[in-house]
Amino acid sequence: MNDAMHPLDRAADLARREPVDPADWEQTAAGVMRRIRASIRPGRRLLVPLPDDRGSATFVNERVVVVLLRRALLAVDGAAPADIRLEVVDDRCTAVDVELAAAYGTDLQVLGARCRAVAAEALAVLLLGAADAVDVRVSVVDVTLDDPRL
Amino acid sequence: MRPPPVRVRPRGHKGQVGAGGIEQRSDGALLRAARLGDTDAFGAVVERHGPGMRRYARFILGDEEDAADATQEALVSAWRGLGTFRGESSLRTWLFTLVSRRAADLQRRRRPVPVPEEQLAQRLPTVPDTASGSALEADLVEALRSALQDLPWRQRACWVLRELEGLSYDEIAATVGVTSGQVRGYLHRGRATLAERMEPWR
Repeated sequence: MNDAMHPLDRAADLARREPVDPADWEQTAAGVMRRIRASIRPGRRLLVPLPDDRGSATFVNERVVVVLLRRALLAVDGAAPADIRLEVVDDRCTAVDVELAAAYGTDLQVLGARCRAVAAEALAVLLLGAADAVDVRVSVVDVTLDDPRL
Repeated sequence: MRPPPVRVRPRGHKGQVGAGGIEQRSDGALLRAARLGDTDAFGAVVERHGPGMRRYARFILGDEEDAADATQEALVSAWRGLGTFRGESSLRTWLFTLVSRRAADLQRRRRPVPVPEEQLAQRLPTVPDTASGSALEADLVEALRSALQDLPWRQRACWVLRELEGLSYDEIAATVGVTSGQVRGYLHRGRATLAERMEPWR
């Protein structure tokens, strides 16, 4: 540090170099994450008819659907899901809105069609026969210079 | 009787894509992931921006406990507000705006306690006659903290955001809720007062 500097500049310089993670930062961060995890509410349940002749059915939570849709969409080059919303009527998923961020220079029509197909495929695995009635809508809401997944 | 819900737990998926870990991902990618409920992605946001938010809160509030509270409240409100953040500003600016609001709330709630004049004189750090280098440096930063607490709120916030956190005038304006022109004014007045207060340390 240069002693010729004004004391205010010297003090500011030292303050900038103070450790930004104080001893109890871990405690603060852990407290944030604890409160966040505690605030997560269970999602709606979605009816999944089972393929038997007795009319059996089970349920899957919408959070599981969102997690697995996101995972499937992240496998598509040049796209990242920005939002996934499910429309549910009487425990049945009727529509899925997928908002995407796309890499600059990507053919958006092709990308949208690819993501729609990937989402429909994932829904078929999760919702079985109920997936046929789901309207999958895909829109690109953001364009990024780099890979939007990174 | 209704059948039990299907339990599906995706294993080993932490949202990583490619070779880089979650901590290497851009703010935008973390934000998109967190918005879809990925708490690990939000944890990376907390680790990336939280310490800076905490430092900012510490310098403008002058109290470790209040700074921790303001930072924690701001980050929890960020999680709750992820759906409303549309990227008009950078993630960092938005987070600083949230911590600035929480800090201002705390400041408003503080009840001013009158300090007798003789105690006030004792409270102000004095320039030590002789001290080792590191002790002198610690005293110098303590003097700055003390001087900052005497600045009006906006001057203090603008100075810390500019000089310690390196935000641009536009980012500071968005954070503090004033115009860029007003930021220049607050900075000018804040710097002049601080320079005068720190002069004895020359």
